[in-house]
Amino acid sequence: MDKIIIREIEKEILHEKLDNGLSVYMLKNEKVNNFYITLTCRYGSIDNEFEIDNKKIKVPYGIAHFLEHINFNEEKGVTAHDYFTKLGSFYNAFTTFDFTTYEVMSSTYFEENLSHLISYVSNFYLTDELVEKEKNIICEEIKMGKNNPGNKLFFNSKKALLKNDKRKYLITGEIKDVLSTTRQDLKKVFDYFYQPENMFLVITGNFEPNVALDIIKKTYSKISFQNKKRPIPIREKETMSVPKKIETIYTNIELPKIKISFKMKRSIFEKFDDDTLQIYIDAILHNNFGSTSIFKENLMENNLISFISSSCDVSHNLIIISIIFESKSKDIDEICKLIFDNLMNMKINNEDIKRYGRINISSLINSYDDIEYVNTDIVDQLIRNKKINDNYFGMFNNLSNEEANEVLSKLDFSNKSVFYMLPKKESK
Amino acid sequence: MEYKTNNNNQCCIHTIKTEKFNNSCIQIVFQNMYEENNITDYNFLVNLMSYCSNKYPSHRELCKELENLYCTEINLYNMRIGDSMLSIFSIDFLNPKYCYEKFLDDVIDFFYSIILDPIFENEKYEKNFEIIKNKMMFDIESEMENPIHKAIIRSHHYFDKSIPTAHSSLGTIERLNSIKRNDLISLYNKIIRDSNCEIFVIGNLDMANPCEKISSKFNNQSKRINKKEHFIARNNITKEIISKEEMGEYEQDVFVTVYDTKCLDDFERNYTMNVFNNIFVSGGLTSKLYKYLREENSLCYNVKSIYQKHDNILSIVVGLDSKNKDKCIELITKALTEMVNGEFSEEELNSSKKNILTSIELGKDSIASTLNNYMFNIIENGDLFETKQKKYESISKEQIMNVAQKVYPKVYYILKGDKNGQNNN
Repeated sequence: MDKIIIREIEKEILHEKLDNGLSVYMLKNEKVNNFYITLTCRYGSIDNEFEIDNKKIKVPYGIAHFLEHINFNEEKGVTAHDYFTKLGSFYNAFTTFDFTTYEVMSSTYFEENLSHLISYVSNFYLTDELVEKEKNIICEEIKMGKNNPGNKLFFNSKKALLKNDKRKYLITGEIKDVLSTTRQDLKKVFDYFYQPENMFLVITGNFEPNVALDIIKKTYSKISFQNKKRPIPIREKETMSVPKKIETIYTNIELPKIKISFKMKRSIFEKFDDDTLQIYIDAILHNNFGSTSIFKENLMENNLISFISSSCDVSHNLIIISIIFESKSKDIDEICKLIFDNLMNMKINNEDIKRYGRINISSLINSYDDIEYVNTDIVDQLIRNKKINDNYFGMFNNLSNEEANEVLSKLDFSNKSVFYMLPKKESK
Repeated sequence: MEYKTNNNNQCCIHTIKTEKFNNSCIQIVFQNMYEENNITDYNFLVNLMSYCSNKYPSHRELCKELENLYCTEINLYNMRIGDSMLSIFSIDFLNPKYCYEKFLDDVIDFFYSIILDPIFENEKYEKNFEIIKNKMMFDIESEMENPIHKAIIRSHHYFDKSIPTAHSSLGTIERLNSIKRNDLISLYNKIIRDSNCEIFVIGNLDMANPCEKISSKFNNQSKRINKKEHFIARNNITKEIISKEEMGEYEQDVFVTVYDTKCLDDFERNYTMNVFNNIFVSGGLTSKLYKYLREENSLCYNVKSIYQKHDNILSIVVGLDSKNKDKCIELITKALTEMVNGEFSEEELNSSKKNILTSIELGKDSIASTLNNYMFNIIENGDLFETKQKKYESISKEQIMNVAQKVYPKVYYILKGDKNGQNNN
């Protein structure tokens, strides 16, 4: 097995790639009582269109999430829920834009939990009746999501900002998408994407890695996979034009929530890898919009806002920076102007960047206590960078004020969208 | 893990020495009687003390100092357990071995500057007062944006409008507008000087050091927490089931049933009820309610249960279409009748117990859960993890059936959403 060594905290992540193409990552922690296992497929909500043998295939939005629901069925009347419940384990699954993860957590029955997780995810059982039954359930889930103001803000603001990028669509799809999904669509997606070479397994917690590897190999030896060509996702490149520079909705909330979003080309920052760039932009935003910023202090002291936060998302061709705030002020546009002015005049100095490095090193050390957190972080790194970064500590220790200011000087705020989510009573 | 109680002339400190975690925590728990008309004041005070102090009169300065202390976190909050109000002040910090020589001293000094030197006499007091007031006003006004939260409060209002859960736990706008500096000073003195108090320290520390430093700063020796029962008094509940419907402008309707569990004894309240709850609803997709409501009839995506043992209330919350309300009641009633009649297998019972035992094991891996286990051991004679596990293992089917007979439905409440699509954004 390969080893990825995190020197500063004396941890090593073991890695092995199986003959069937599956990658396994294991991080043992003898201090804890439990183990946490995730099996992830690199298939998420954004890939409803793909090409195979020069043929374009399109499936309904939300299918990755629908498949996640349906995958728990094992054979007639039997589900994975039945199995894990008997063991007393905690289990679940979730779908994101880029991947779907199946998880199990427990302190006992390691072999049974690991082996069954692999088996039920890798085997497809579905009938038309099961598909129809699940539709109503997912429709209620969609409605539950729409009751959540945070969800509304997130997805509606993305729709205003993004033209081609499918992150503007609900991960669940809309109700009409769910109702139009067929068993054939689900089987097609499963056959093409749920192949071991398109998946990886991450285990954290208290377990024996050699024992785990034997169980994994033994389990996979009993599963046959159809030899399918890897589909090529069709992802239209995002343009810099913004569909809606201003968008307003009125909904059932008490206080206005506003999100200002910017998109810019990743290629402007060619010199920096994704992780480094993410750290520098986060540091800059933290310094100028976070709790230690004079700007936030002024907004709070003048009773202009009750809440403000900033975020940045670095992906392979696009960077999105967002500022969200809540305000009761009659002049929200003035606050937007203040925010925009602050963005154009952001600063960061050596003391700021060093302090930022220090707080992140501290968070990293603490995070290794939490087997769920560290497992999730490994999954995120594998999805984003296709490898694990063994040098986060080094990166945070060596943050450079010159590089931070170089990034700052290149930030481009010319492609902007402002999304207003206002109380319904204000529309009257 | 090594637990000790250090009782000296100054104060009582419970230490839990463990090498398990990379961080450490000091937690001070003050206990008073819960009074509904004081909740706004309590929340205002802890929010203000978390925000600033005499030494750090702006939140920005306070946050900067926390960052300088290697991302140390402070957490000041109030927790009601039954008729008691706990004001909990805690500080989480990295193990000093990763930091610098005097790090622990600096952390404790900082913590006590927050607790013992509040901002009341500082010239910047008024500005911070206004910030906290406005923030709380925003929070109270936004509270009902969440339909599930609103449905629970409203259903409890119909259950018994005198109980705390029938009202917002944040406070009221009326009281917020009338709070004055003297009110806060008076409450602060009551908490710091007159309350019952226990102090906890957990982490991989040489415990003599923090104990000595805490003792030198804090004198509350005579006021140990000795009230161990915390049940809320309630009005008499009607025998009939109350059925209510209210309108809201939401996408999905929310249905809540409220059950009276007043007749349970101590063991049932602390243990048997949790196993009952697991088989009935909280144990995931194989529990009775999930099976009937979601898997077999596709009525909903999510069913939630909230058991408040000190208030003797169990609430079941379902997000569904209101046209299915009667079917939902029929299925919930069927499931409860089955529990009363013992229509669940030994296998289901054992699976539920295993699930709860697993959750206890997960708790042992969390510094917060471990600390709270000791905290509730002191505050309400709660059992420690190992004893809990033994007691759960002992629970029998007959005991579950007995508990099921003591769970009385009292309220069926539905908060209806907007079906005209005006809210479909």
